Amino acid sequence: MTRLRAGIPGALILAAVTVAGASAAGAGTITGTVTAKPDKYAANAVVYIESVKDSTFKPPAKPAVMDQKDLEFIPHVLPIVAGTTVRFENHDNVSHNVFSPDKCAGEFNLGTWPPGESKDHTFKDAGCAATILCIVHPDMEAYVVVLQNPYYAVTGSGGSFTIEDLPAGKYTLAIWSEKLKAEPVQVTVPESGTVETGFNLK
Amino acid sequence: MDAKRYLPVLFVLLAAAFWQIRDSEALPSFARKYRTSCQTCHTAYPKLNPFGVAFRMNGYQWPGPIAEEEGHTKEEPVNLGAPAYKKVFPNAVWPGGIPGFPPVAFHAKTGFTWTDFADSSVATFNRPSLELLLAGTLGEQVSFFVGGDLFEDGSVKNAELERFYLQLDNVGGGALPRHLLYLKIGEFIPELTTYAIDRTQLTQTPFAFSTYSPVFGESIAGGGEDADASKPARGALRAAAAGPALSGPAFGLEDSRLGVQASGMVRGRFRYVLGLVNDGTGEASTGAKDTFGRLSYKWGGMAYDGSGGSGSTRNWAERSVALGVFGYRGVALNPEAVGPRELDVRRAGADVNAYWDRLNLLAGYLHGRDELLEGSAVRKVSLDTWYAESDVVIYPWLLGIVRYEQAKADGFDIARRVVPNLTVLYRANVKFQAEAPLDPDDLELDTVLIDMDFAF
Repeated sequence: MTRLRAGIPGALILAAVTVAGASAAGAGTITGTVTAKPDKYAANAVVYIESVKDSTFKPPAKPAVMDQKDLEFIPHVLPIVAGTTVRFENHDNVSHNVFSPDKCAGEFNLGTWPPGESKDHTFKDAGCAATILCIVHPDMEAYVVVLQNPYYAVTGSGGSFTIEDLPAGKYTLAIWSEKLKAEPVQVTVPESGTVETGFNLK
Repeated sequence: MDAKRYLPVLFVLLAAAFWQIRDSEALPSFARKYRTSCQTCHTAYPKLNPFGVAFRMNGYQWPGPIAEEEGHTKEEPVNLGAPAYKKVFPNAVWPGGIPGFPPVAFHAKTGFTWTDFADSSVATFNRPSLELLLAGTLGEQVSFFVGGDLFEDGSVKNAELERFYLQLDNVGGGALPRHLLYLKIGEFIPELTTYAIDRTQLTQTPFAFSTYSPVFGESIAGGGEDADASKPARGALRAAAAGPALSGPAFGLEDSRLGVQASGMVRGRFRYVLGLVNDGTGEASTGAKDTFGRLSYKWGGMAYDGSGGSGSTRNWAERSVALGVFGYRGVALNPEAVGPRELDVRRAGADVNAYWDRLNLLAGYLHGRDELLEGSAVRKVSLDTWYAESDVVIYPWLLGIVRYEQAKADGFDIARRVVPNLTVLYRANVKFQAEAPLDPDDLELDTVLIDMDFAF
């Protein structure tokens, strides 16, 4: 089981995945910092390995969770492995709706449900950053970023990220941000130890 | 009777009449929004520095990409719809926003006037006025401005809304080049002159360029037994010595108009303005529509879209030249009981606005042709006005201004004056001014205007 740790407290994402058919769990780490202009977009960016070749990654059995509370989606950005089911919960004191206008996510609409209930949706296609909206509260917005593999991290408020337990090798490290862009970078992950890199979002 | 004796009276009357009409665009609400000083946009409010001009032309938003506006905004707006709702359109309302705090600002002023007449002098403290200003953005591509006097001349009963408009910024989104089209709808001052665009006017005495009408020539006509025979009589505006006086509407370029104005920039340095407004009457409209337009180009310095301008060591200093041409064509409601209902108004002119470090030189020439009434008959009267002004930043808190301007009607001098002014910024939002309009023929000090105003 490969355990991923993302960012710093305030945007920690923990994902337990079962790696099947891949090389043995590694001990390499990628760490770094994302900068952005405006500064606020350095947080909540997803840094990820674009593709691990000749590998298949099973989604976790347990659903990932996105909650709705105080008229906000929590978390604002949720990266998952393709095939993962996301459970949309409602712990607010009003009814909420969940839908996505994005074709890659199937343009789904889960309907509206009261507090205390939840609905599931499975995101099948890697490479899709699905916008999540609430038709009842147009100011609510979140993203589910669907990836090929479990090697990813969400940046914290300072823009820092750490991706652990990577097998050694050469990879393309990419970044997703809801508003800005940066080019991918090539990284070489050692058998054990850390490689540092970064992104400047514009 | 020496007509020159009455010139100071005219200066005082016109200054008193128009000093309240001159609109302010010093907006402390922007200082609050961006947590920045007035000096970011103003050389001395309301005069805009080159960055302030770009900010204003960009719909009261930080010039440059949208990210610049977001990055510099310290007071977060309230989103009316998440930005991602743009993907849902047309199945949802396009997302917008409102300012995070009420974008209210006030501009208060009072002053002191001293006037020396031939046989007496009068010194008076002026009654205060208070102007309300609201301006800001409603999301990325909509801005607004509301402004008017709450108290004028010390009395609330003179309150008047003078500007009230919505502006659609960067119309067309990605379909049109950025900055190509801005649409202003409501009541506004047509952007015809260079100083209407960058709010250059710092003097209390308004530009004759904008305010003089041939009909004023009659009011100071000095014909009669004491007229100076060596000069063409101002009374020549009259049809004959015993003829009727001229009357009719007094058209002003800087009067607010109701209508729509399109403007835009190409490559940041070429700017156009086109407008369609109610006729040039003011309160009562004939139903006819006036049209106006302006073209301008700026060389050097910061472009109108905020690009360029690097290397300046002061945000109010640059080296640039902007040339502009403009025209206005319309009608005005005849206020008299005789004659046609509508009288034609025509204006055309050109101006230049040049910066050389701390020196700002402006000049303009205007030709007009108005239909006025001579008795019950319509008479076309030409107007030629020109001005040249020099603004010098002595220190960032001390500006010296001097303007020469002249107006002629049908070739005869209506008025000439020199307007020297000293402006002191006691604080970024507290200003004192001393001004003394002079007759260039004798340069005799007979009127002094002292102004104090502040904005918050």
